[in-house]
Amino acid sequence: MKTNKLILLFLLFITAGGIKAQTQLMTEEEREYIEQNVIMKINDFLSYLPNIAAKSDKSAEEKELAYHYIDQALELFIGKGENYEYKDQAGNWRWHDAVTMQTTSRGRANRPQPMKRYLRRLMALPYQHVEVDTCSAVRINKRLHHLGNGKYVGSAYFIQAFRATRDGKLVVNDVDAKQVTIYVEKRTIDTPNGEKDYWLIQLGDIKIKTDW
Amino acid sequence: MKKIACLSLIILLVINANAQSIFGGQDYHNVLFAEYVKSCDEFMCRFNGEESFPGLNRKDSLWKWKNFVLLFDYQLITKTDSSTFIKEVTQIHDEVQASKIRLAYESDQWYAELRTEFIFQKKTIELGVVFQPEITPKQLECWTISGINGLEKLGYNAADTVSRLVISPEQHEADFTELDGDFKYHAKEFSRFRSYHSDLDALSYFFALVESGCLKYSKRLYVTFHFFNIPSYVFRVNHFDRKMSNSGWLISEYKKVSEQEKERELNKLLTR
Repeated sequence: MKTNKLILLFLLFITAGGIKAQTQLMTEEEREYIEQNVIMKINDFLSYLPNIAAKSDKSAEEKELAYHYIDQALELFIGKGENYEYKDQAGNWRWHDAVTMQTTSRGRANRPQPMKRYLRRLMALPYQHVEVDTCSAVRINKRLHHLGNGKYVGSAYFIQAFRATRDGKLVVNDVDAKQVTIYVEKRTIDTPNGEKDYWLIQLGDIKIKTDW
Repeated sequence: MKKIACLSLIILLVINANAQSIFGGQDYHNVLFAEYVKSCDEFMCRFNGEESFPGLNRKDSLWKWKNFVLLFDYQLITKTDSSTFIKEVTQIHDEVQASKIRLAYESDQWYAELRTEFIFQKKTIELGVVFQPEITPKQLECWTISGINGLEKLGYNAADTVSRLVISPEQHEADFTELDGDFKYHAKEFSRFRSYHSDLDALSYFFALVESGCLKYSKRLYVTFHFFNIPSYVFRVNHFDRKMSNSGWLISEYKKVSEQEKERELNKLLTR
């Protein structure tokens, strides 16, 4: 048992490798900025969930606030919860279904459901109190694939811990690792001081990778 | 001896599943998350030594080897004895180092196979759809379908170069009337009427079935990555979803092969 403890303590010292830019189209600084913003977007999304879910007997005002958070959450996603059109790498315009969310319940992965439906169902769940941890661990793939016209696509991985109570008892305690597709686009805007580049970062489908 | 001791440590690491009693809560999951090979990208980074299994010391002379061993599914040890496993894995590691093998997305020596369920004639059929990374004419990366496995379940038999159904030699004088019966009695094996010089093409066969609506997509099952990058070896990578250090995308199978055998393996994967 003591040996096990020592080994696991040893494992806590995680070596973090430097991030390499794989394409000359994006600088190291831009990549770091994008990574920080991806983490921020994921944390924003996770922070909306408890506000939407809790509590089951919402007043009209609380319901209105929950709908506001749903709208805010959907803003983080490509297509904002609706089907969206995109240009593939061969130059064809194609349709993509609305982004989906996959969850676990009692250790089993559920079928992915459209994000808008997921958030609305979340609002109706019969819990008194809901807690969702913000990202304590995230990994963003080193490779962002260039899609042309300043657009990139990649993947990020994070832990989501979802706890809910009813009648003072913990009824949901799901922890899983999720993968989210990330869409990054370099855009230029006119400002009083001339043109300025900025990065638009949007989230895509969220999928369960492993359930703990 | 040192490697055997290291292997013992590795086994201890991978079977150490119930760490929750020690750490509890978020720390425990953070440790699992760090060890878990979350993506193909992370697998390649660890394989190339650009990233490491958490806790390994890069100053250790066996660091690269340990990092490499931890990319194998631990259950492979149980399929042979541990000394054989160490010997084989060490040989692969030495080959990777000697040949300076680096896995990369843009390599043309790896493939993804998605095992997929389809419905064919009201029956559920499992096929392997094989993808390969490619570059579009616009010089952008993408995946394309380059092979299909399991079509023999639908009557496809490209390997059969001899067995044919033929049409009577005078049928040109009779406006090929014999075909009325051939379509009636041999519809399920009609490709056997092809020329002795014509090969069937699995991809065309598959696409025709899909586009005609005869083969309907049902669901995705799982993905296997096939790597042909290491000289004299092929290996496969699968996702292991389990509550232990040895989880995520790991080498599930490896094989020492001659270059001819490797070519055969590749042809089998791509059904050509």
